Amino acid sequence: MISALLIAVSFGYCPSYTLSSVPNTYRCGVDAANGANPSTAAWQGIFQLVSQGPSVWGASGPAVPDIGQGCGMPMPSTQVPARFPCELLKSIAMQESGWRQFCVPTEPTDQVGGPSRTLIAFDCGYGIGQVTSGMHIGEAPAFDRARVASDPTYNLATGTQILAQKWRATRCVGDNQPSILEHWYSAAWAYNGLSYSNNPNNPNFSSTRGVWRPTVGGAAPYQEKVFGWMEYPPSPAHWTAVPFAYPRLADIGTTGSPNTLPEPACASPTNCASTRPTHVSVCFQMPADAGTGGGGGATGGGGGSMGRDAGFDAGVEPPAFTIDAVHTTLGRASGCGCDSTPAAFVLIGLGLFLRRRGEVTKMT
Amino acid sequence: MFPILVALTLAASPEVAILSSQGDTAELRFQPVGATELAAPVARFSHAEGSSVGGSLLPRSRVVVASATLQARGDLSFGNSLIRLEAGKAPRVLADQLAYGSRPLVTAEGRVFVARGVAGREPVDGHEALRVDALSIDEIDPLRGTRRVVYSTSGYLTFLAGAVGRELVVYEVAPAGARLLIVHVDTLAVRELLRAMAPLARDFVVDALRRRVLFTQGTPGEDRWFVEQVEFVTGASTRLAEGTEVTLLPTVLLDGRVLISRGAGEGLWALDGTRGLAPHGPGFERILAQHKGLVIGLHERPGEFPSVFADKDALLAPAASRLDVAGVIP
Repeated sequence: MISALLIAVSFGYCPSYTLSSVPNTYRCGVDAANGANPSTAAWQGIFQLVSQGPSVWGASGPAVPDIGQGCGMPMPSTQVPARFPCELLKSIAMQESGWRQFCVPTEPTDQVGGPSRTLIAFDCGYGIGQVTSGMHIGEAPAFDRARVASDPTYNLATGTQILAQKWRATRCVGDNQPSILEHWYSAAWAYNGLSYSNNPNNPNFSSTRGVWRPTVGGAAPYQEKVFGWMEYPPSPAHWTAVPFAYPRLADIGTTGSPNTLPEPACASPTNCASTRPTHVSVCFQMPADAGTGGGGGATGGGGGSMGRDAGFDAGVEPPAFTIDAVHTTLGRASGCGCDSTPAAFVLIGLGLFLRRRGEVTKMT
Repeated sequence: MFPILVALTLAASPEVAILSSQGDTAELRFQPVGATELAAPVARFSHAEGSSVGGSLLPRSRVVVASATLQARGDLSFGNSLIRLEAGKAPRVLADQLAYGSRPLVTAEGRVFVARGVAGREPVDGHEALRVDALSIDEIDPLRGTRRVVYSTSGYLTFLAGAVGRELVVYEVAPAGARLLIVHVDTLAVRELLRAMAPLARDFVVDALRRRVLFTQGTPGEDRWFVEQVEFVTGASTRLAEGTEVTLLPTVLLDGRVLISRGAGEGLWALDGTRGLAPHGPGFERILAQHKGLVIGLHERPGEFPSVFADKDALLAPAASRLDVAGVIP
């Protein structure tokens, strides 16, 4: 379980309900750590590293078991090393914390003022990923709690450990490909809790709401806020907008859990009159260890956030990527530390080469 | 002479209770219909960044009860609070643990009801079922904030669809399915009005005068949506209209005519094919209050801020704000 702080557009707000704080009524169990928040460019490197999964981040994050890939439409289900779309991680982190591990506290009253230290929500959500599970007094999770508080990379990697659990615990979306952003719809829902308050058919949410915009706000299911961020990033320096394709309302939540969903294609969470293609994560279009500079939160390597249309229908294996499509996308891209188009072509070309040799099948 | 005439005219105009929120601040103002200047806010409160604010006017008063998320938190499921707003007094929190995004229901008698809950345990790893919560419909004293449970259950959702006299219409979704219930607020008697519903119902309208409930209902797995009408006493159900989009937005005018939306930019249409309300732009019209022949509502554009209308005219409201119409003061 994680905690969505919903403060992404209110960067002045910085809670730090540390262990020693008197108003720590939710019994947050770990002290805040002093630290300077990574720059936007440094965050890009962290996202890129963490998106590649535990096989690449090594000791920089906790262990994460393999996840399923394929749902028989047509790919048979297999277990593969966990990897995560960087666009999804960036959007979740923006919704959770506004990309902040550290800030100068503005509350509670006994913590106000410098130095900059761990952002801790009143309900014990810690840091960039607002990790809540295991962070209360007396809990003993299978990860290093102190590093969740002090290390941005470790914190984000711990968040993906939870995200991977949710991927495993929810039913297939499309052919259940970790590389397809839209296939994470139900996992993103579950990341905030498999509650009805995140069901898009909840009548408390307006039937005319459309794609959630961070600058407009308003009530919406958690996952729609994440995908709204994906489509409306804070700036081009954060990531390039991805027009996320939504599942059809009438397909969702008609049973006691998120259904097995067909390939999402709706241009809006509330309307399917216009359609969109799904998107392959740019992080999956390069070798698993490309562009990373190691852990520790200060890497400058190439985090990609340029979504591109997957351009295939449910039941059809993803085709090889076309250079034209990639070029169009890269033309809009910036701010990820990999914004050199020629360099990106080299990486993507290398990925395609390896993929055709069958050496990186886990990336599809 | 002219300003006096204008003042007299406005004094005779109904006022619309408008809730607006921008960033982390909400305001209440009473905006006279036809006024050319924006009324000053009479109450203001802070809430979590980006929270929606929805409310209802207490009848024969200038008091509004509003629901908003006051503090950011991880699980917003029951993160809303009920706030009392009135001119000249500090906003006061009357209740917490309201369902996220919900609005309070105020009956014609001025009694206030809310949907509240307590989150259940998260499903264990590998178990994909939705979380089951402890849910209730509570009556809240609008002055003191005291609380009385009128209905409780465990499940996914209890939604206040409306009221007929002292009977509440509650849409409930639980592991066993979805249904419409009638709950008497004094005897606490519960009867089932409709069972085995598809859990896709929304945009409820309770027509107390004609004792019927209207709502939009979907067809699982298909782009087929209906406006259903259910008789309040017998539970007899009739399909009044259908479309391929969820935004049918049924409403009932005071004269009994049912209006629906045919789509964005189309306005509202009566079932006999005559136009009921011209469009106010490229979005949708949602009627939220009526006074004599005047219809007041929001023009809603997906992904954008709404605007307020009164009949064919725009009503002044704060720009670039999330808005709600809480009621009309005659």
